[in-house]
Amino acid sequence: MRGAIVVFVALWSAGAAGAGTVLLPSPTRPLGSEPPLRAVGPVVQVQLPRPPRIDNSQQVLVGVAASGAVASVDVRQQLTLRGLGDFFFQIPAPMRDVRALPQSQSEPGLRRNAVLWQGFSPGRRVLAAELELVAGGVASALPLRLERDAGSITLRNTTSVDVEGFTGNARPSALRRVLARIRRQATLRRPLAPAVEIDGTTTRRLLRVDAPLFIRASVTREGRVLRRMRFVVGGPRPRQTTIRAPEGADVTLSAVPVPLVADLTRPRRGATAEELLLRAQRALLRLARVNQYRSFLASPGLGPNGTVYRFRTVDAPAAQPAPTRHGDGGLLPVLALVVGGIVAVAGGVVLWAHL
Amino acid sequence: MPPGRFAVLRGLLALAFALILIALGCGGDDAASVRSLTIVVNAPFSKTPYVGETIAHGVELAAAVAGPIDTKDGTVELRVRRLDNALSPRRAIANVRRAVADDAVAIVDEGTGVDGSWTIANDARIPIGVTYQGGMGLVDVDRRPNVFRIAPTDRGIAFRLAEYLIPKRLRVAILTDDSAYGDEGRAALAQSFGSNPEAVAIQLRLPADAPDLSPQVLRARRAGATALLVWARPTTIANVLTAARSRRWSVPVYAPPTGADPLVRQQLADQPQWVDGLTFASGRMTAELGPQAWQTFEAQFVNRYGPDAIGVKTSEGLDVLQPPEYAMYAYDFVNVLAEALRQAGTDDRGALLDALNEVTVRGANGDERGFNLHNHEGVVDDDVYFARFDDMTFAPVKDDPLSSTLPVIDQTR
Repeated sequence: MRGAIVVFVALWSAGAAGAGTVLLPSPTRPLGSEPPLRAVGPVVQVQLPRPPRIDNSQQVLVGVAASGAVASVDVRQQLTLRGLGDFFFQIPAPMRDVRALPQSQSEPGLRRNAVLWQGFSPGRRVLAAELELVAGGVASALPLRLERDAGSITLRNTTSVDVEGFTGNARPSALRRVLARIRRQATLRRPLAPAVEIDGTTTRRLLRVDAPLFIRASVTREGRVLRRMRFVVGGPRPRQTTIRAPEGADVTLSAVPVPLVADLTRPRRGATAEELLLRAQRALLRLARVNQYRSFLASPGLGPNGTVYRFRTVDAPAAQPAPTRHGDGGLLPVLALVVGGIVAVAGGVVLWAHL
Repeated sequence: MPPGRFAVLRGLLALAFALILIALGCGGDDAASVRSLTIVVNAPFSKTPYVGETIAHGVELAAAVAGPIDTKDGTVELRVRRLDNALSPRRAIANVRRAVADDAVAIVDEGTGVDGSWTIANDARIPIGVTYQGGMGLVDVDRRPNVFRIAPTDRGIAFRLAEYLIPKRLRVAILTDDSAYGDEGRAALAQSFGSNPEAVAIQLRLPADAPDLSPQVLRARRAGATALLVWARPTTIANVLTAARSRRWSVPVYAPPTGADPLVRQQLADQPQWVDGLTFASGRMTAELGPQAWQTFEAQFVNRYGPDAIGVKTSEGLDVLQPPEYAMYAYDFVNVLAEALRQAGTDDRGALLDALNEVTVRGANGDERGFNLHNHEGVVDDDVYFARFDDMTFAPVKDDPLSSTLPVIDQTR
């Protein structure tokens, strides 16, 4: 979905005249379809303990081939259910296998494109599993791409997305208060979407946003650490960076989406209302993108999400693209048969007419 | 080309079209008719009629409720055939051979002989649904891909019993009888209590046929037991209760699902107070959503087969009825099978086996029932609850988180 324009639905109408209260973009609404991962499969009715609250913690383990292509993707997901009662739900993802982790208090079930969890929570229940995903089917949902050249590796933040925003006439003092509030609430897991008073018409504007990634990287060769680094890609920093990594060296790095918005919420003196309004929207949309990448696999209910993406270079070849995620592999032969049948009947009719 | 040859060609073409039309017409007739697919019930109708009948009733009710099922191979409906295994593995295996010869779509099995019969069914890609026995080796998704189960597992029951009893700091005497059922239980309890040997006062193997178990019960008492856990056939449980209570030993007694078997109460009908306090573990009959789903199923069951009065009364003189718990599991298995038929869209046995791993239905108790590629157990361990007898009827206990959420099921009339 990268490069696509995402239209967020808010309580405003571009071009509308007159003063009115306008809700700014939600900092929790996903921009684009993935993550969390989706997959085609039967839908089940979700049942959760009451009150439903789930901590969703994940580690995405990505194996990167020498070429930089994604060779494998495994996810260790731990869901901590709180509340008393039955649970029954699926976590969708294109996957090959699943196994319980030692700390899990239930066994995961495997269905085509889904992990199945079922049981009873006596107040707290830990569900933990390692999923082996179809690498070719999920690589595009990863937030980072690695490209290896001789002597270096380039890290590219791939979370950017174009979103429709708007400009309009608002009071700068009100907008500065909104920016301060966004800054204060940025680290909250579920910040609120603020509202502003707009006087007159609004005009659509395309905004490009991404999720800043905090990177910890280490370059080793034969067990000896050559370099350790910490830096941010995306957000207030450039979207790509290159690190030195001699050929034959192993690179491991972790990437965590971080809600950095200070560059947007601390405007210069004398900034115009239009600039302030756009900064507020960019900040909120960036938070939305960060929240989206905090949940690589879906959670069946509300609660905090956290995902660490761990990349390491491996010797394995790059994964092949997933053959299909929609189960329509049998359509082509059927169509060929139907078309063939029609041609045969038509031929018969023509032959009949000429005899 | 002479005109006469055109005439011959035209005639041949007309004949071909006519034959095609006739063939299509025949196909249409086939599609409109309803074919029967046979479900074989392989159960001990002669040796333990209650078990055999309750399984068969559950299957027959579900087949009737499912009605005609549309598949791309035409409309099918399920019919039921009963075969008695007489608790004999040999007869059970012979029954499965017969089911294969009859091209059965599935076998609903009490569990006897499955260790030998599953390969025969697997060669014909016929699923076996175990709906009574909970033995640990019966179901193995990797080695026995055609064996499924909807019934509480011994492993789950044993695990839940340990989870319930160990925190009470009781010294448990584990008593198992020398039946196959008792041996399975002993193995399961050894695993679940294995990490807490301090909770076990003594382990004894009881003779299943001995009417007087006083020596063994006395031995348990001398070993310092403060609770008896009896994993045995119903008659053995009744004999243990008799041995303990007749000596005025009010030790708490715990049991697996056989504790709820009517035979225990029938055997102790003259001393109903001896049954009071007997606590058993079993699969729950109602889900958290409430008792409505169970009540609907029970009403259908009673309408068709009548209430199951077990021949004992409460202190107020009310007849005690047995809820159709194990019929529920057989009923659920057939519903999962019917849903798999619908999803597969064919009664091709291979496609049906695949579909059985992918479907979920709402069970008779309101729980979700289904299997998956890693697990062919339809009752999860978490669904095991505890109930305690009082005045010949039982109610969920209040000192277990799951059981405390469950309503009491009416068992009198």
